[in-house]
Amino acid sequence: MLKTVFGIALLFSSIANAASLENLIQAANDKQLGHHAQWIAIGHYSGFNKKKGTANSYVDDKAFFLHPDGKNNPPLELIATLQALAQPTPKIDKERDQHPRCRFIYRYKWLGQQLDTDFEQQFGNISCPAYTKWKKMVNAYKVSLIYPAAHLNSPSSMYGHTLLRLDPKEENSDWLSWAVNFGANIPEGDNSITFAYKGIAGGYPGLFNVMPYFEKIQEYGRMEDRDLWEYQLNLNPMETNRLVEHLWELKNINFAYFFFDENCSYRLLELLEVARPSIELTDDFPLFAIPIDTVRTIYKTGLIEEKHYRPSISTQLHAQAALLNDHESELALSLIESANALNSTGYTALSSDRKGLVAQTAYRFLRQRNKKSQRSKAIAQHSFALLQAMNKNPAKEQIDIAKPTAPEYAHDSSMWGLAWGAESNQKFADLELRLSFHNLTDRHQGFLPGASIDMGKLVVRKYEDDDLQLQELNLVEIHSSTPRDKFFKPLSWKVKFGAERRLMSNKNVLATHVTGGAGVSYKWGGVLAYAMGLGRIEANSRFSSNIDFAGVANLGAVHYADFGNTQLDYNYTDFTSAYDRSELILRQSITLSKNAALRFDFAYNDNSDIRYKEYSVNFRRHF
Amino acid sequence: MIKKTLAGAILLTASSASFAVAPGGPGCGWGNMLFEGSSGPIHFLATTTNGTSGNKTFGMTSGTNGCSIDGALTYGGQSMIASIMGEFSEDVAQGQGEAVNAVAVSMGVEKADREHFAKVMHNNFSTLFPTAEVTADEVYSSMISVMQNDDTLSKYAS
Repeated sequence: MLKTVFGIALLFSSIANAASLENLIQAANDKQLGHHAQWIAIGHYSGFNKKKGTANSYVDDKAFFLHPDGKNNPPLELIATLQALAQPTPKIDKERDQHPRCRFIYRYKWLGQQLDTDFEQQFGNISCPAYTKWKKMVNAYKVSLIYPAAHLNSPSSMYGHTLLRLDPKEENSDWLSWAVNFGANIPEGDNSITFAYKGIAGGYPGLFNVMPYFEKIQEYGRMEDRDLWEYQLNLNPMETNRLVEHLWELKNINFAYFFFDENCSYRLLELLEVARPSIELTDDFPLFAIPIDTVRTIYKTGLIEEKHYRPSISTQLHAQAALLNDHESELALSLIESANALNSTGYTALSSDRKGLVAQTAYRFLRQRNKKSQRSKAIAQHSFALLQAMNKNPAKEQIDIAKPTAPEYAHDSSMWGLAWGAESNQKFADLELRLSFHNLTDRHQGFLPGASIDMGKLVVRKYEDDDLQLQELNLVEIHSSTPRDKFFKPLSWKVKFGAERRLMSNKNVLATHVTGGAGVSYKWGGVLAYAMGLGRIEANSRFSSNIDFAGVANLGAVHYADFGNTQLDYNYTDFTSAYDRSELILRQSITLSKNAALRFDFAYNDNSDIRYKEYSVNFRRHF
Repeated sequence: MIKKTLAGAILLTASSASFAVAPGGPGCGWGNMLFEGSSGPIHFLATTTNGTSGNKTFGMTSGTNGCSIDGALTYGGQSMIASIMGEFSEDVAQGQGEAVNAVAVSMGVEKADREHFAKVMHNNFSTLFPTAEVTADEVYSSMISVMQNDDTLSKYAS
C-alpha cells in the first residue's frame, strides 16, 4: 500500500519535471485555450470567429502582443505567450521587470491556472520589483464605478464619463484611493476642430491612467462643476485582484479612441468582464456606449452594491448661498469684492456662527471665480484674509445638500415617438426617432433643469392625402439655460443645426439652417424663463437669394412638475430680405412612466406670407 | 551658555532636517505657494466629450521629474500637500474636512486620532499658514513640528 502511494507520488513528480514547453503547448491546444472566452477578453478581441480562429483586437499596440499576428489571431497569440513565459529568468534584476512573466502578469497567472502548472518551478523563480511596488501602492481591495454627472451650462457633458476607483480594505480616505481612467491622449496644441475630427475618426490613442482620486475630485468637483456619483461594486477581493493584474498589462498600451463607441465606458466594461468572467456587459453596446447607459447595464448585472453622492464645489456653494438672508448675501457679495468689508459694521455685528458662514461663502466664491486663472498676489491676499476670518469663526451650520435623482433613474437615452395632428386643417401623422438624449419637455428627473441636448433627431410626416416626407432632421440641438442669481451670472445659450419643413405661401419647403446665440435665464420656483438673441443662416429654395441671414429674438419659459413639463417658446425671426416669421409654441407633457409620456403641442405662425396653426398629440417612448 | 547655543543649533538643525526630508525631495511641487493657479486651461472639447488630456501616468512617474515616489505625502513623485494646499488650508481653517483627513491618513495617523489631528491643525492655523505666500514645504515642516509638540500626534511625526 505504502509502496503504491510512493509510486504514484514519484510518477507525478516525474511527469511534472518532464512537462516541457511542448507539453504545455500540447495541453493548451487540447483544451482549446486559444478559444477560451477569458482569453478573448484578455486580448480585448472582438468578432472572434471560432472556425477560423480569427478576431480583431481593440488594442492598437504591438507591445501588447507576443505574436506578430497576435492582434488578429488569438490561438497563435496564446502559443506565442506560452513560449514567451517560458523564457529563462534574466540574471540582471533590472531586466526582470521586462520579462513577459512580469509584464503580462494576469496572462501568466491565468495560463498557469488553466494548465495547472507552475512556470516558476519549471523555468526559474522570478520577482517583479516594479509590479510588486505598484500593486502595494494601489492597495486595491474593492472597486467603485465613478460617474461624473453633467456640468452646468455644458449640455454635451450630459453624455457623462465613467472611471473606476480602487479602494483599500480600510476605510481611510477616498481622496487617497486610486482612480483608473481611460482617455484619449491628446497632444498639446491640437485645436478643437482637430480634436473633434480625430475623436470621431479614431485618430487619438487611448490609454489607461492611474492617478490619485483627489485629482479627479479636483478636476470634476472643482474645475468642471460636476457632481460625482460613486457606485461601490461588489467585486470580491479575488475579482479585484484579477482586474488589477490585467490593468498592469495595459500600462502604456494604446487603444484607438473613439468618442462614440470605443470610449472610456466601453473599456471599463471590458475590464469588469475580465474581473468577473461570468458577466456579459459589452454586448449591449454594438454602436455606441453612452456612459450612463453603461452604468444602467452594470446595475442590471447586480454589480452595484451602494452609491454615494459627492456634490461639486459649485453645488455646495449654491446650497450654502441659499442659507444666507438678504442682508448676509449683500455682506458676502461685498466680501467677494474686498476683504475690507470684514471691518464693516454690518459684518462685525453678526454672530460668530453667521460670520463664519458669510466668510466661507465669500471665500469659496472667490476661489471658484479664480479657479482657472494664474495666481495673483492681490487675490491671494484677499482669499487669505477670508480664510483667516473663517478660522476665527468656524461655521457651525452643516450645509444640507438635497441629493438629486441619481442619473440611472433618468429616462433612457434614445426615443421614438408617434404624433397625430393637423397643420392648417391638413391632417398628418409623424414618426420621430431620436438617437439621444433629452429635451426640456422630457421627464427631467436625473437631469439638470434647463439643460437639453438632442442629437440625431429624425421626423417623417405623412399628410392625409400626400406622400411620406422628411419633416425634420436635426444633427444637433442644444439648449442650455443656467439661471442667474445674486452670486452667479452665467450666460445661457443655444445652437441648432439641421433641416426642417417650413410652410411658405402654401408650399412646404425643406429649409437647412444653423441657428445659435446666447442670452440669460432666471428661475422662480419651478419656472425657468429665458431670453436670447440668436443668429440664423437658412438655405431655402423659396428665398430669391436661396440663402438668407436672420436675427432671432427668442423668449420662453419652462415649468417643471412631476406630472409633466410645460414649455412656452416664442421666436421672432427677421431676415435681411423683407421676410419675417413669428412663431409661438406651447407644449405640455404628461409623464406616464419613467420612459413614456404624452405631449400636446400647439403652434401658431404669423409669417410675412402665411398664417397657420398646428396641433398635435404625441406619444413618446424612450428606450 | 555654550549648552544653550548647542541646544539652539541642534533645534535649528532638527527643523531644517525636517525640511530636508520633505518626502520626494525638492522640486516636487514643494515650492508651490498657497492659492497656486491651476495647471492650465482644460481642453474644452476634451472635457465635454469624455476624453481627458491624457498622459501616461500610471500612479508612478518616477524618473520624469527626479522625485522619489516613496514615503508619506507623495504620490507619483509629487507633493500631495502642494496639490491639495487650497483644500487643506480651508479644512484647517474650518477644523474639519476630507482634505485634512487625507493628510492625516497619509501621515499614518490612526483612525481614532484623526479628529484630534484636525482639531490640532485648526488650533495652529496661523502657524501652518502664517501668510498667503507660504509654500508647501513650509506648511509641511510646520505641520511636523506642531505634531511633534502634541502628545498624541508626536508618535506619527518622528
